Amino acid sequence: MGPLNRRAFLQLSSSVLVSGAVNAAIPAVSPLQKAIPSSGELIPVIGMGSWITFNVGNSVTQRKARSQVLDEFFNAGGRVIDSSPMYGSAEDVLGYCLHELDRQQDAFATTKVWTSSTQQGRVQFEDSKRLWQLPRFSVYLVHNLNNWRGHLPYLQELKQSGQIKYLGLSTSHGRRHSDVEDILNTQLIDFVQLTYNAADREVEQRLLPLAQEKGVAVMVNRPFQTGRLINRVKRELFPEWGAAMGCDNWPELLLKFVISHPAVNCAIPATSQVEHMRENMGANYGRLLADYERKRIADAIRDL
Amino acid sequence: MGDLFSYSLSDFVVYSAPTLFAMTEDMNRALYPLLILLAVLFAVMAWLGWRKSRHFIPVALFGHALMCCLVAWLYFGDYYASLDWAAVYYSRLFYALTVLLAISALWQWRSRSGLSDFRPSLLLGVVYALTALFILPILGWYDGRSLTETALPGLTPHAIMLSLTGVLLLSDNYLLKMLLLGPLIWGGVTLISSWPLGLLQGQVVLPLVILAIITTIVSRIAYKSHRALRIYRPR
Ligand SMILES: NC(=O)c1ccc[n+]([C@@H]2O[C@H](COP(=O)([O-])OP(=O)(O)OC[C@H]3O[C@@H](n4cnc5c(N)ncnc54)[C@H](OP(=O)(O)O)[C@@H]3O)[C@@H](O)[C@H]2O)c1
Repeated sequence: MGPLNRRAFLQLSSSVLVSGAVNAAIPAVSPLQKAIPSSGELIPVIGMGSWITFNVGNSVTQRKARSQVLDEFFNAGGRVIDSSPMYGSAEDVLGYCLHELDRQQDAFATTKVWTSSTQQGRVQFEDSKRLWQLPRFSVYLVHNLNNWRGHLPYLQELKQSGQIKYLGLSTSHGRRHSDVEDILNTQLIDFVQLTYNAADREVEQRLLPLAQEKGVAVMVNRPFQTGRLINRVKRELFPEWGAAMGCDNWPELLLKFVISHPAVNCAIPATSQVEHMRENMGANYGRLLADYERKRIADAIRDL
Repeated sequence: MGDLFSYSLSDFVVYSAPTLFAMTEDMNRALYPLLILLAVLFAVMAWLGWRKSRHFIPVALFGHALMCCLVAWLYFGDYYASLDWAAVYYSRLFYALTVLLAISALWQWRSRSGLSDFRPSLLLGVVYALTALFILPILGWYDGRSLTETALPGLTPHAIMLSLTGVLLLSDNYLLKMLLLGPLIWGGVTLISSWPLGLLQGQVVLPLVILAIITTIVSRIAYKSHRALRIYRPR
């Protein structure tokens, strides 16, 4: 290793700050980060979801395997973790893994309220804290807009009392977009979670520009179309033009497409495998893509 | 209503097939001594059925009540509950069936109704019982379950629903056959998760129960027309 110059030292120390630990896996450069409009706080562009992948029940073997996935995530500079009471044991498993790895401090924990009863929503928040083994959440969302009118006042209360940092709502699969638009226009929220990927681009029309205009951070779910997109592209040879964009594989390229949209703050791909996590976290580094590069990816997907 | 339309069926599949298999393996490891009890139960039912005993139907109904209770309590109430929030509803369905089957067993014990005399029903009833015991585990293996991850008949829902369908087909009491509603509901519910997961074991329940219902309707029509012929045949 050559002598450490000032720039290399700064890059290394910032990556140490993000990953929160000094070990051999620390990448030599810092992760790409984007600022949350309502606060200016920086978060890494690649987070992780937990739907299906972290719902492994009480199986100790599977829980330990997920701890390794999470370890890989943190070591690659990841922080944003998304879950919901709808995902079976996922919150409980995440709590277990975070505790096992002693990484509670590093998580930018995001969960949701998922019930049509306003009263039950309060109980659910306490349950989520217990399951994650965390005193507070970074982001708390209304899952699939379920009873959002009933839940939002409580979320505001939670934010004021410091039990959550940011509030918002989630939708997926392009559902109820007109409702999301109304909410963005009329309510004060920090985050919106929605589906966006190189094949599902409807949100580019109205929701992404509107979120940007209103200063609402965007967290993208289903960046791989629940895995379908990956299954389609992985049959194809990785193109040279993809490498020219600084990517090593298809998952990285697909994630770069998502996070390079100016309105998007982070994507939350889900995986149950360390190797896949490694591939996905590649998109946490390098550079963001220009519009013409994003268009090239979308065209390639369309022509598959 | 808008809330409901914001979901698709695949949203309700919250675990992967390997996770379900691992859960079954954990359960088998913890509960395998129960298999001795269940094997005795199956042997008694098979022996009574083979001898065409008048006690067969009530004992089989009671046996299924017991197994439904085990599934509601252990499978849905404990192991499966760790994966799926909907387990509590499935558990209720199986508890309700437990009660209905136990009451039916008592009623059948007293009314002493016997085996159906419609041959297709008899044949299909036996085939369903054998499918529950032997074919379903093979389908599980085709789905990717290892031997230790086998969904054991008597402790898991699909096999019980199929063997219950078989018992109801074997019975000659048409009111009793109303209980086919239980397997029908379960067949529909389980198709919702088995289809996206590509698990054949769960996908065969609904078509088989529907076939049983069609057979029952046909046997009823045949019975009625047979009686009508006897009554109105000119002397
Ligand atoms: N309404 C809502 O609030 C809502 C709705 C949907 C999703 N979400 C959130 O968004 C997250 C992401 O969405 P998603 O889980 O539906 O779908 P996704 O992230 O688009 O895709 C996940 C699938 O992709 C596969 N995968 C991931 N990385 C891969 C790689 N490098 N190579 C090959 N396959 C790979 C995973 O399989 P392996 O496990 O084999 O890697 C998994 O099956 C969810 O987990 C959830 O937290 C929220």
